[in-house]
Amino acid sequence: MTGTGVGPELIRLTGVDASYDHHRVLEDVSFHVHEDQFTGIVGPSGAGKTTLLRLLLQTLAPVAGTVWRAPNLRVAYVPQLETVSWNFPITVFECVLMSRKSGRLRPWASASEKASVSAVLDRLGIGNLGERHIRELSGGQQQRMFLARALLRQPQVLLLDEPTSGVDISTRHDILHLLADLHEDGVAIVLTTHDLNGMATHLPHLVCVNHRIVGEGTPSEVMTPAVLERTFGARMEVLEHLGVRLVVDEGPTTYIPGTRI
Amino acid sequence: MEWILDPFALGFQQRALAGGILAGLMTAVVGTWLVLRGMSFFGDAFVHGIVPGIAAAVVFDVNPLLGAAAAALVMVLAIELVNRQTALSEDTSIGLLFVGMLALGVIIISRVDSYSGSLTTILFGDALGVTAQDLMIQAALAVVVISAATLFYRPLLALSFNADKAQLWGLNPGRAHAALLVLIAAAVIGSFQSVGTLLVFGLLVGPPATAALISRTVPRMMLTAAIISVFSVWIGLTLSYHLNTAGSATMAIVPIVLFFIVLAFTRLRTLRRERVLSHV
Repeated sequence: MTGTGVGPELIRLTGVDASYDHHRVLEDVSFHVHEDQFTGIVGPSGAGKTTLLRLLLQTLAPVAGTVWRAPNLRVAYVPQLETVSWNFPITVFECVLMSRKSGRLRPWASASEKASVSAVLDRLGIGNLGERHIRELSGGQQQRMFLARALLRQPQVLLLDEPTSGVDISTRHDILHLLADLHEDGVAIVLTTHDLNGMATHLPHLVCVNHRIVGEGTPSEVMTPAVLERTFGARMEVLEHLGVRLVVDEGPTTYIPGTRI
Repeated sequence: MEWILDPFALGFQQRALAGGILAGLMTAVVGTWLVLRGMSFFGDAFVHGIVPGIAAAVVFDVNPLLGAAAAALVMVLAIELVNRQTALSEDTSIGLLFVGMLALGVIIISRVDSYSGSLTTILFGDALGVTAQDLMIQAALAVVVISAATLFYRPLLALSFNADKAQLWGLNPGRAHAALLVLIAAAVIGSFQSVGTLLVFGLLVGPPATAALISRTVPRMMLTAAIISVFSVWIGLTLSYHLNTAGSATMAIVPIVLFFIVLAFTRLRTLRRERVLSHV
C-alpha cells in the first residue's frame, strides 16, 4: 500500500496560518494532498488537527499563506461523531441523502437518488438500517452512515475527523479495512487521530502537528521518542513488536489505583 | 353534537376557526425549523418586535399587516447590525431589540384614546373580529409560506443539522437562514390578527415542540405539528365558547398543555421499556 503521495497533486497548502478570533491555531503549515495519499494527522488535543482539515475543506480561510485546489475537485468530509446532534429528527436514509448534488429544489428523492443511496448503504453493510433514526445506531454503524454520506458524492479526497474515537476495537478494525479498500479504489484519504497505537501506527504516512508541522513520514520514521516529544510535549517510549511500533507513556502520570509510583 | 357545532354556527365564528387554522398551518411549518434551529428566543422577541409597527398602523390608519412587515424588517436588520458591530452574543442583541421595540409599541399606542383596547387586541388578538378580507390575505400568505418552506427544505435541513457541511455541498447556509427569517416574519404577520402577537408564539413553539417528542423525521414533525395546531385552534375556540374565556388565549394554551401530556406519556413509555429490558 502506498500512501506517501507521489501521484498528481490535488490540494496544496503553502505557508498557511490559521486562527479563530485572533487566537493563532496553526502557523506556517505547508501540506500536500496527492491522488494516492493515505495520511494520518497526529497531535494532541487543541494542536490544530481539525483546523487543518477545515483548511483542506475550505470551510475556513487562512489568515496568511495560500490554499490551492485542483479544479472541480470532489472533497468529502466525515465529522467527529461527538459533534453530531443525535436527537435531530432524521433517518439514516435522509442523512445520507443530504449530501446529494445541489441545485435541485425538489425536497423528495428521485428514483436514481434513492438507488444510489441504497447502493452506498449496501456497500457499507448497513443497507437494512435506512429507515432507522440515527440515534438507534451503534457507534460503528453511525461511523458507516457518515462514510456513506461522504461516498455518495464519489469523492476524490476523503477527510475524516477522529474516525475511531469512541468506537470499540473490532469497529476500529472494520473502519481501517474500509478505508484501506477505498484507498485501493483510488480515493485519497486524510484523517486525524490521537490514537497512536490503534490507528496511527497502521497508516502508511503520518504528519505530526502541534500548531506547526513537527514531523512527517512513515510510522517508523515519525514514531520516535524525539518527534513524539516535540508533538505531544511529553516523553514517550517506543517499542517494536512484530514490525509494528507501539508507543508507551513514560512518566509519573501512569499509576495503578491504590499504589503510588 | 351541539357542543361541537354550536361554537361555529355563526359567520364570524367560522371565520375565527378558518383564521386560526391558517395561522396554525403556517406556524407549524415555520415553527418546526425555529425549534430545530434553537431560535425560540428570536421567535419570542420577533413577535413582540412587530408591536410598534402595528401600533403605528393603528394610529395612522393604514393596514396593520404593512406596519407589522415594516417593524419586522427593522427588527431583523437591527439585530444583524448589533451582531456585526459588537462582540456581544446574539441573545443580547435580540434582547435589546425585544425590549426596545415592545416599549416603542406601548409608547405609540398610549397616545391613542382607546389605549387599553387597542393594546389588548394587538397583543392577544381578536379571533372573532377576523374579516373575509383578512382571511384572503392570510390564505395567500399561507400558500407562499408553505411553498417556500418546501422549496427551501433541503438547504434548511442541512443548515439545521450541520451548517458547516451545508456550504460544502454547494448549498448556501446564509441564504437559507435569511429565507427562514423571511418565513418566520410572513407566518407571524399572517397570524397575529387571529391569535395576537403574544400568542402566535404559542403556536410557533408549542405544536413543533410537542411533535419533536414523537417524530422521527422533519416532514413528519411538520405534519404532526400541523395536526396539533389545527386541533388546538378548534378545541381552543370550542372551549372558549362554552367556558366564556378569551378565544386566542384558550387556543394558545392547548398546545402547551398537550406538550406536557405527550412528554409524560413518552417518559412513561421509556420507563416501561427500560423495565422490560432489565428483566430480559
